Amino acid sequence: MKRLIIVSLLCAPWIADAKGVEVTGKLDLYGGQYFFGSRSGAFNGYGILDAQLAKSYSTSSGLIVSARSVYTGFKQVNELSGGGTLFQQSLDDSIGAKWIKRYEGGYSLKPRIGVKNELFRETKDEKWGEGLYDFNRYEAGLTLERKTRLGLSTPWTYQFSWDFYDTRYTRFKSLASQYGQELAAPNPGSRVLDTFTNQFSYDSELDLPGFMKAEIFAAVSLVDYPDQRVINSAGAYLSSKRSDSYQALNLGLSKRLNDLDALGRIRPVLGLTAGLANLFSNQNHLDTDPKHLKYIGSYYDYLETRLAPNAQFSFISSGLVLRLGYEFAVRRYTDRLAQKADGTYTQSRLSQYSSSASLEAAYPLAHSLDLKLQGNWAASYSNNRYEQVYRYNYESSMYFAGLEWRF
Amino acid sequence: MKALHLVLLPLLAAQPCLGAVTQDIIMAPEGKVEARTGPAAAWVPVENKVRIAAGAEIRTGNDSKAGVFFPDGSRFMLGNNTLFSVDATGKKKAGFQLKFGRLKAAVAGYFSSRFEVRTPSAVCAVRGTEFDLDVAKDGGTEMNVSEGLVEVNDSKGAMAVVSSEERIKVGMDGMTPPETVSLKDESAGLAARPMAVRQETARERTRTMLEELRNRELKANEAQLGKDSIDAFGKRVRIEEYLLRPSNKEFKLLFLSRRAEEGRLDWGHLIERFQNKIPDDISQVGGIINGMYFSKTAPVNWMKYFEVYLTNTIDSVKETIDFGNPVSIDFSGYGAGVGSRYYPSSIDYKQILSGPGVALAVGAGTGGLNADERAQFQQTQDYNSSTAGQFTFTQKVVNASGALAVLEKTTLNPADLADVSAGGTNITDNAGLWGGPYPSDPDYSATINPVTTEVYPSGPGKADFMVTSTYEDGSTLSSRKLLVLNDGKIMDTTFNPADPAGSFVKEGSFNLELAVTSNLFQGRNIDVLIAPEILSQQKSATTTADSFAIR
Repeated sequence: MKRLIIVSLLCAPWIADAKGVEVTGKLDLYGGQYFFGSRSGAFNGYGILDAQLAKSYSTSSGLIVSARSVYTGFKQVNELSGGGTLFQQSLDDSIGAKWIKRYEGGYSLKPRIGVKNELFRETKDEKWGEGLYDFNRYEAGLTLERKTRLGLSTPWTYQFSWDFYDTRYTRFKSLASQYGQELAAPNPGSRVLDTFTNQFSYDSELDLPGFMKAEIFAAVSLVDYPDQRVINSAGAYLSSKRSDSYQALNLGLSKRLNDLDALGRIRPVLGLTAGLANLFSNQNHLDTDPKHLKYIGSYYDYLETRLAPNAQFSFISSGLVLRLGYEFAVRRYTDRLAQKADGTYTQSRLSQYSSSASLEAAYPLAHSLDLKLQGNWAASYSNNRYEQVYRYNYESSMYFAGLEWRF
Repeated sequence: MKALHLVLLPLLAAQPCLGAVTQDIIMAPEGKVEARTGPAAAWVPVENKVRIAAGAEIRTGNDSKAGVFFPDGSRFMLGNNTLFSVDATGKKKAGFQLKFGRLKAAVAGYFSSRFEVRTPSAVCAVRGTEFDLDVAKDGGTEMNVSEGLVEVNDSKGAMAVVSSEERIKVGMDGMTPPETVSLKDESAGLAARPMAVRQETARERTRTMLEELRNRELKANEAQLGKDSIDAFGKRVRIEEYLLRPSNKEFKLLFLSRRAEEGRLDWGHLIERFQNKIPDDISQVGGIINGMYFSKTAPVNWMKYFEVYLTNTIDSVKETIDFGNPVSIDFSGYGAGVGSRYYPSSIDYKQILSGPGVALAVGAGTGGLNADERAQFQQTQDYNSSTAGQFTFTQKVVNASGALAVLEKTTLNPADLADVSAGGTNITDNAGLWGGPYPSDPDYSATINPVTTEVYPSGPGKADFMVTSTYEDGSTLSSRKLLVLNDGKIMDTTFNPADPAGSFVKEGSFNLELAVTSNLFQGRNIDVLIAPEILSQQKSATTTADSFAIR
């Protein structure tokens, strides 16, 4: 599938428009470096090739084929905290097709299918296709869209969507399932990371007067782990399987302000996003470390809030676009206890505070070709001091520079 | 005119672009087009493209049209019989009037901070838009927005944001609510036009991002649970640990280390078996173990058996400890106020190797062991059994003949202050620990005493400690302990030369990599990553009375 996607992506810009196919997309190529605490990763980069091929059959029906290929030569910040080396390469290829059927009155139905393959190399001698966390994801979905108005003044587009994801970690099986019989091990399940997700979401966009835009996104995701058994306080694996319910609510507001009469005129757009999410899971955890054996029910449950202001400044005379962003998030686990540095459990629930600041500058070199610079700083603080296997308290930063070509 | 088209094509093709915006506006006529510089000036025919400025008016005749082109790529196409004027072209505000006629606009939105088109009945503030505007002779305005947004105000103070594929009519008496155009209408856009595709792709990506985050979090959870690590030799290791309860009196901790790249599995277990039922909450077991030693009252429960087993699935090393029932012992030799305390009547520790190479060794299969097993080391202590009223400590190792032979034997009277102060009475000293061989011992060193070396392979200050014993029969056993970070880096440690191994246990908050090998393993080794507390428990369980501080 990877070759098919790459070939189709490379060919996308040259597919004859005369056949009624509209091709849009972009190619990003960046190089840079990540820093995690005092450690720095080797100079590396990432590339994104993203294309949509759209064919309209009429005003009421059309087809979109999307293809995306992403190469990343480093770890994301949230993966860095999981330990291991700074080295990681990943290759993410996906392809999807969506049928658009529009009806009178602003209604649309949009069924879709898709497949994604993600490969990881996490040590330098690991071969592509042999990564522990390599996975395939099969997707399907259906969106009902209504384009209408909220009163006289405001256009309103809302969508109800159902999305289904079948994620299969092709190489990940629990060790106990592979060797359990000879070790008289318990049976936690075999494909313990595989999931079926049914996600129901509502997305609403309002174009408000005064160059303002509001967006509401709410989702409920029911995630079933068909082969992960629930553990009880005695360490026994029950016949019931893990099942999670994830809820998310995001509110976003942005406003374009009047141009500033400076540096050849600057157009500011300010935005603010607030988010609330929580996870309920029936899975528990038994810490088998003999020094601090501990059973924690509802180990994964958490409540998370986040606030993210952002600003964009477009320099009209030079074409430079500057984007600044900041995000502050708090995650509180409802039952997971914080641990001291030696692993001893405290009575406090584990909390994690994370903040990040980002800067992106895009400068047009030519028509549809931008030079881009990206910088990011992130920090995480937690009352959990036990960091034997996972870093809860850290700072990281990165810089990248590259080109973006839109077609 | 063809030449003009060629000049204009790049402008027409231009997407919204920010590059080097000037305030020059160019008008290109086609057919009968007249213009004037202001209301007071005379109309003059225009046949070629001209620059236009604020105050200019343009009118088109029958079968005529005009293009108005802006430096940011925006453009107005004026239809026939149209009257259009330029009110302002400033950076803060660009204003235009369509007094009557038709205008087709594609506005990038960067020419000015505020971009407005006025009609007799409406003010249309443009955000970045494609729209058609029709103004009738009576001033009535009809607007179709193909793509983007236009904010429309009428003369009555009503306001509406009109979006793509919407139509609004604004009369001198106010506006009617915008309507979505019919799919059959000629102004309806295609179902999969570029802007719609971009919006749809962005919305789908938002939804899919949740699943992407979940995928990442699953991986992070595995890391949080310590299931994925790099060993000290750069190999990727998956680690799983399980707690099993074979009966209500015991638990078994199973730990597995899998290195997929090498196709190897190393695993082991810790077993603790007790006299009576233990709580479901295994964390309370530590209290039971502590109660076995020096309790003033008879313990209600105590450990009977302890076992640590490590294997590479072919070779193994097993350490077992059998505990006798607690008995009351007079420990007054440790202090006048100590008195009688409960203590295990016996502690029997064995180290047993097994594997195909071990099966070929002399002495394999003896002492009640399997044919491929051999006891390499044994340490026993008992009270009152070997020596009346005293502890007897005995260490046995494999001798030159492959059989367990006594290396050290000591007695200690816990009620005798002098004997306790002297560290007991040595009976056999084949290791020469008591200042030389005991005179009555005929087997001193030459055939029994193993040679033990301790090295720090990664140098001082690094948590990498290896002990190798070479027994008199030529067999070797090497145990290397490393504290490693999750990226495989060997940890720096506060090195205590007086207690090098102990400093490993004290750190206690990193992965312990335990690599065990023997020349009886035929070139293989055992290499497991475990929680260091397992070692700590083993140390506690094997602590003998002579090393305990009694409180």
